[in-house]
Amino acid sequence: MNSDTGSGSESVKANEAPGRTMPNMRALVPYLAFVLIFAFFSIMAFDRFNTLHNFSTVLQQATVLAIVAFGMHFVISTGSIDLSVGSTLSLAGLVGASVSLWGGPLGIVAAIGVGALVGLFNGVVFTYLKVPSFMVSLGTLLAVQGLTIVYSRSNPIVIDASIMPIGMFPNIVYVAAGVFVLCYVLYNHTTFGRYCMAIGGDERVSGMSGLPVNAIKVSVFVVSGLLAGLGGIVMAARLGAATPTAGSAFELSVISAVVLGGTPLTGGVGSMQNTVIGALIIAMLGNGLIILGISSEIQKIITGLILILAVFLSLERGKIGVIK
Amino acid sequence: MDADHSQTKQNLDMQIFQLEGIGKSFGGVRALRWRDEDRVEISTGEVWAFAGENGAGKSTLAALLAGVTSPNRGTMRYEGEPYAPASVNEAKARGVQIVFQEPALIPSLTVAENLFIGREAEFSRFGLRLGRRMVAQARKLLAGVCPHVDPLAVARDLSLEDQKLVETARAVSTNPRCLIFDETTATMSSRNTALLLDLIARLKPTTAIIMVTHRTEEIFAVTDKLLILKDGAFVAVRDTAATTPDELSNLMVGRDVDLHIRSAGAGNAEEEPLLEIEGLTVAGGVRDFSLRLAKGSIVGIGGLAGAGQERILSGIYGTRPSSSGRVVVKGKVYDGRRPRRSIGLGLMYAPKNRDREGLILQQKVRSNIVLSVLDRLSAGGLASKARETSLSSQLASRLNVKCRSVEENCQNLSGGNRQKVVLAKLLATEGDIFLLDNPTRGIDIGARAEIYQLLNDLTARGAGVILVSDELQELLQMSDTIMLIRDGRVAKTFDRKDKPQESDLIRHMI
Repeated sequence: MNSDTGSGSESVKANEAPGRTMPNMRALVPYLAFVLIFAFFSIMAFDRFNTLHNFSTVLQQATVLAIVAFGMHFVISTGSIDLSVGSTLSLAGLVGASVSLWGGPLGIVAAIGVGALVGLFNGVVFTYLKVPSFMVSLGTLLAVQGLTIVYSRSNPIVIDASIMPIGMFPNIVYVAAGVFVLCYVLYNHTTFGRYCMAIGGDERVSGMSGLPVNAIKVSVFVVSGLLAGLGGIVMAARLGAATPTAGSAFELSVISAVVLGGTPLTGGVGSMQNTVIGALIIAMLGNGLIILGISSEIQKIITGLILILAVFLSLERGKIGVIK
Repeated sequence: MDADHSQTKQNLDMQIFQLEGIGKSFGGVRALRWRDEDRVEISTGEVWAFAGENGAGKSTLAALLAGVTSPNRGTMRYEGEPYAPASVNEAKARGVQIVFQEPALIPSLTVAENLFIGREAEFSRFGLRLGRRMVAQARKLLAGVCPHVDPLAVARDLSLEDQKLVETARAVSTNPRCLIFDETTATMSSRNTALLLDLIARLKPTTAIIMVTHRTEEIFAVTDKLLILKDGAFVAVRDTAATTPDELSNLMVGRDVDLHIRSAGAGNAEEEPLLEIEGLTVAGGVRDFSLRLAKGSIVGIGGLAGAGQERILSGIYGTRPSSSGRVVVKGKVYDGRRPRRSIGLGLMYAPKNRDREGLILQQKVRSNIVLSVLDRLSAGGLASKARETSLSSQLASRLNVKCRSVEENCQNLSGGNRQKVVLAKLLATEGDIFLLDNPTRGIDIGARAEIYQLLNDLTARGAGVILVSDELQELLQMSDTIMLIRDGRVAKTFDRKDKPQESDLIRHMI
């Protein structure tokens, strides 16, 4: 149940039945997971985990993840998937960094442009050539990865100082916050957002109801690519250089963040703020496990299991027709 | 009531179900609310109707018997034993089978494979499938139910009603003690209904049969006993023979209902028609179909399942790309037909399968009603929830949609209310040409009358309706012109003035 149930529906109030305002516990699972994991690390490593400096590190690690996850959120809400965001992030970071060396801030535009182009390619092939999005973006993942190595000859590219500030704390958080506000509005308060939800809910019905289904399907991939591009340049700015492997396996964290936020892969429902929580959880887990000195193999095991558990607890199975 | 009757029967027939004081709630909504003393006994040799309007709880009761869900209150006994199946499979294992209204075959499998799904072991040796034996067995099974269905046909290629018959055959193959039909005949043409009724007569001596239905003709044609429900409450148990149709509808609805509400069509031949169709051909559907829809008129289109009338509307609206022919909307030729453009021209389409094609079931009433007009309700791409709520609430109350609020999910609504949401979605577009495919399919008499009244009001204000229907009575009651399709072509056109009878229509359909 949403909190806005019943608002402005006087005309049908006669049919309302009393007593269904119980808050939905499932919707709280991402928040609960966040609190529990936070509490766990606080107890285990209070002196090192609970410092302002460490919090700012977690926040910085979460920003790039969140920026890309916001784009992914649109794709997943329509019921599709974009596996190419990791490679796109790498390529966009490299192109942006090399452009910045002569063009300064133009590097940001270049990175976003590269991302949008990859997204456009994904979207067009998926929508008009009707190749499933999983396969298109898997193919793009590989192709762009190859392109990244060709472009960089496997070397990092240093970024121009004029761009560096967007990667520093607290600016990096402002960037992510700005992107969040834009995406939140786009998702919740525009026809575009409504269309995404409708297509995720039922693409066939949406088409028969006259929605511009194809245009929306292409657009969500452009948004996803575009934000992966922005994520690439922000990450490069944060690290001082773009590397060809900056985004390897990043798509998995990004998808995890969205799914941890309670958005089912079949689309149709979801909330942008929960995706923020999802990104924070992933960043905090990585950070906390390192602080505890847990080896990277064990980290992977723990992160994987927590992901499965969280999705098990948070999926609103009643609202989702079929779970695949 | 009728104590003598049941006493004599008890000697011959086995008691199957005994239900008492049943209560069932879904998230605070009381779908069934019998008093403690409300009691029904169902035996073999009886055909029961669970009758009632939308939301009466008849489908919920059937779902309880079939193990889909379990009651919160009351007792259920089956063959004298306490009965609380944890799942549909458990109910099946105990001999209770249900055929649902919505399709339950796996579309990609053949009829034979669907018939024996879950029983493949009987048709394999050392893990290898004995396909031929399965097909032979399937053919035998189908012969008793629907001989015209090929066991090798793929389920998705069958018409909706043939799919229902195959599901019925599957249910019968397990020799059930109790067979439940949940609005199964709501989608059927007369021929297949006849097949089904014939089967029921054969099964009756050894099986308790329950039909969840609101179709009066059917109730009086086959059932022996009536359980009448209204708004979840137990109204009465009656012998069908001792009940008149009027009594029944009064018990179901609680008031008198008149479906003969359309007088004469206001169609004017002189005026420019809303819609003119010449030589429409839809792949797998009609060929060379022509029609003229005047302002204020209703053109009804009928035919047997598969005759081609099913795809006329989608051909006009543009959901099937492969339609050819000239469509003229209000004087302008309309080529490149697509739903989005159709809506812009004032065409609106309500598909037959409303749950799959008409509604996003998992989403809110509000989201569904405003789906086609989000652009209009927005300002510069910004959606306005206030405007969405006000428009959807207004339409929901105009159509008398029974929901707690427009924020309720459509899947919580009954069939009739879902259909009203689909119609509300059409009305929101403010178009004037309604393309309706079986708009009252699976809907009770009260909601049906409301929808007929709505069509009357709309046409009185100049709208035009093309009504494709499987129900002859509906065509006769509502159409100003009736076109009958046979083998993809118009076999006959009747005018309301001709005063055609049901038999006249059937003659031109077969």
